[in-house]
Amino acid sequence: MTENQHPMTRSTDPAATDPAATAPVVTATDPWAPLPKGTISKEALSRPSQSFARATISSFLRTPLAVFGVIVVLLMTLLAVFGPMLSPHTYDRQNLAYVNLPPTMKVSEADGRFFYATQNLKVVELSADGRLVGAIDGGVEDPVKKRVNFELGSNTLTLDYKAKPARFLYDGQPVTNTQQMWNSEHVLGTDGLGRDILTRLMFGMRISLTIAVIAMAVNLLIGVAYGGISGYFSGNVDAVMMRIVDIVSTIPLILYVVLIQVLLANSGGFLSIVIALSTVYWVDMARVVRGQVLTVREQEFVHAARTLGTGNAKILGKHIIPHVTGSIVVTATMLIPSAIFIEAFMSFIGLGVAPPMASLGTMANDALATLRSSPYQLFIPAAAICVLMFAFNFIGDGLRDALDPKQRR
Amino acid sequence: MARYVVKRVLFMFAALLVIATITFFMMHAIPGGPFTSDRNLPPDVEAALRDKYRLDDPILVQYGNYMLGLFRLDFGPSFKYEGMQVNDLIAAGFPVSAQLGLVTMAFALAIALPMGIMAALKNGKWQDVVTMVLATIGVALPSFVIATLLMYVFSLKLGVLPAFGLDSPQAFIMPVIAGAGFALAFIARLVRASLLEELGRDYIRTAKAKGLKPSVIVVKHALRNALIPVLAILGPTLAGLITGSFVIEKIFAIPGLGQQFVNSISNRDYTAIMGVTVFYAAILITMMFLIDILYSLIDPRIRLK
Repeated sequence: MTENQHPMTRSTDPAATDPAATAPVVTATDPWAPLPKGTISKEALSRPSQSFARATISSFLRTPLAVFGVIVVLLMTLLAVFGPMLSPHTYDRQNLAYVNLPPTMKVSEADGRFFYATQNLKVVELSADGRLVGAIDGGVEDPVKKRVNFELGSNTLTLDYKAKPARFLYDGQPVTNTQQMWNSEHVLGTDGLGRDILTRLMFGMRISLTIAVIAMAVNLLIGVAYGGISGYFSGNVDAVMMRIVDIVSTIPLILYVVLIQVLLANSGGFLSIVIALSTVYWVDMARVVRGQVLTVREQEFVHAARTLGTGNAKILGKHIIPHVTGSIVVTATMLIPSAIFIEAFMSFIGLGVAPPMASLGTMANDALATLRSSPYQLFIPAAAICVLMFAFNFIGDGLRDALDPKQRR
Repeated sequence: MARYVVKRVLFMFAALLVIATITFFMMHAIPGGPFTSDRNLPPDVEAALRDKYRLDDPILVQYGNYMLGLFRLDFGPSFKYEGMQVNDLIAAGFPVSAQLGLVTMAFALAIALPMGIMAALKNGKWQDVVTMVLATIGVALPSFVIATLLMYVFSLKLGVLPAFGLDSPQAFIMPVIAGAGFALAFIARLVRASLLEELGRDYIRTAKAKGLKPSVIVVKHALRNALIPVLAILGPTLAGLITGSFVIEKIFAIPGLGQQFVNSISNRDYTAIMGVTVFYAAILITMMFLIDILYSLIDPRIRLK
């Protein structure tokens, strides 16, 4: 693309828009040879003019990472919205018979039946296709031999936990026929209370995304209104409002969020996290909007509107803010991952949503205690957080490049 | 300059005053008070406790006393630890956190600066791509994810690094890496971007035209200017490192101030929460102030008014 593509160079000469006249002529060998006169119109645009929105979208769509980010976010949103409805499990139903079952289990086959020993020496029977048949009860523990004996009709199943990992004996004979089996009932396993992790994950994503989107929306409203008013009225109003922002931004925000969270802890974690996040993080947005409004308000169309007697609210809302949309969109997109991040962080230090609700952060926090025996319980929510963070970061970067005309190719 | 410094100092105090006030009233707005939550105290014991901590005074009197205490750097007694002052808690935790924070910062800079410089010099080559991929990962991965993954691999699976404490030099490795992740990625990206910008400027072309060695051009000319924006973000970054340490200290069971803060939250130890918050805020604000002053001293283009 050439430098002189400003819309002002658009010609009114009909000949200039004639495609034949604008077609570039490829000269054979010498790149420095002068073109024949009249083959190129200086006034013509080298490509069709595009509206800002269309140019932005097409530029955005040409960034593979950003498109990937959008697809991932859409998929995860669908999963978060519809997943818990379609799941046969609920996020809060506990099943103490099936505690800490991993996604893949090393099962031992004896007499055509499949057995799996959990970390807490409970035995679960599986069918051949990985469905859970039931827990085997009535084990008699022999602490001296470090064994647990189960009566299965006329046979005895023995779990020997002298050496790790524990192994099975069937009628006294070691069971050698073992295989890895997918947990087809709980695809991502169960947690320490026997709750289905996939369902909790989808539910947790729903909570985390909801918190992030609400916080983003509130911050957007407050930030745009605050920054817009401050920049538009400038002068003393601006001075006072920006000093307030200065003070707020010197406050380490995370401390403030923690304080609000402590204060509102009794009203249930979800609401207080939303309030905590949305009352604080508008400061950046206010700064960005104010800076942009300060430059836009000096432009002629604003003076024109004012001369025509348009009210302040209308000038700000209808004439100025639309010019600032680009930076608002980028800042808002970047607010979502930071809200997810802060929510996970708060949940992780024990200030998250109240149990039995799940968010990605609380799931990671709960898993920390059993990291040694059931690491998958941590990896799954951690992976979900990372994927979300990546996706939103990609979208934000892509939007920033797409909305910046200097970067456009 | 002097006017600016005075103005900034006044701001610092205003911000601290606001923080202390917000903190105080928030802690007192919590319904039920500190002694009614978990255990059922006999009424006379509770009355004695309330009397001891002067909780029956009018709230403004309590506020006045608290603020007067703050001016004498006295954060009052802890609610949960009998006979402990909040000052004692801070004095016990802060040196540990500061040590960890400084090592983390040094580590982040030691890795990020060469990485960013290399990425800028090899713009578009594989070194650049690798750096940017790593930097994106570092920005997107929460520190607790890095920390727990490191702990799982190196302590639980391989058993080569201690899983908690800060007793030996090896014990620093995981907390420092996990804590530095974000800062490291952020600084590396910034160094790259700003060095690329400087390398495209006219004075670099002049230096090249005069036949200076490439190393001299980069180190003596471009880098000096390129590092100025890096300096500007050191304040907020350090702040981030210190607050990020809540999680790191919790995971690795490091008895620092962050751990103290998290504990006082889960114990609902209101005076400790207030004290640690105000202390944290004071440290962070002072650091940002010092770095801003340093910034203006180094870059003559920035005139502080």
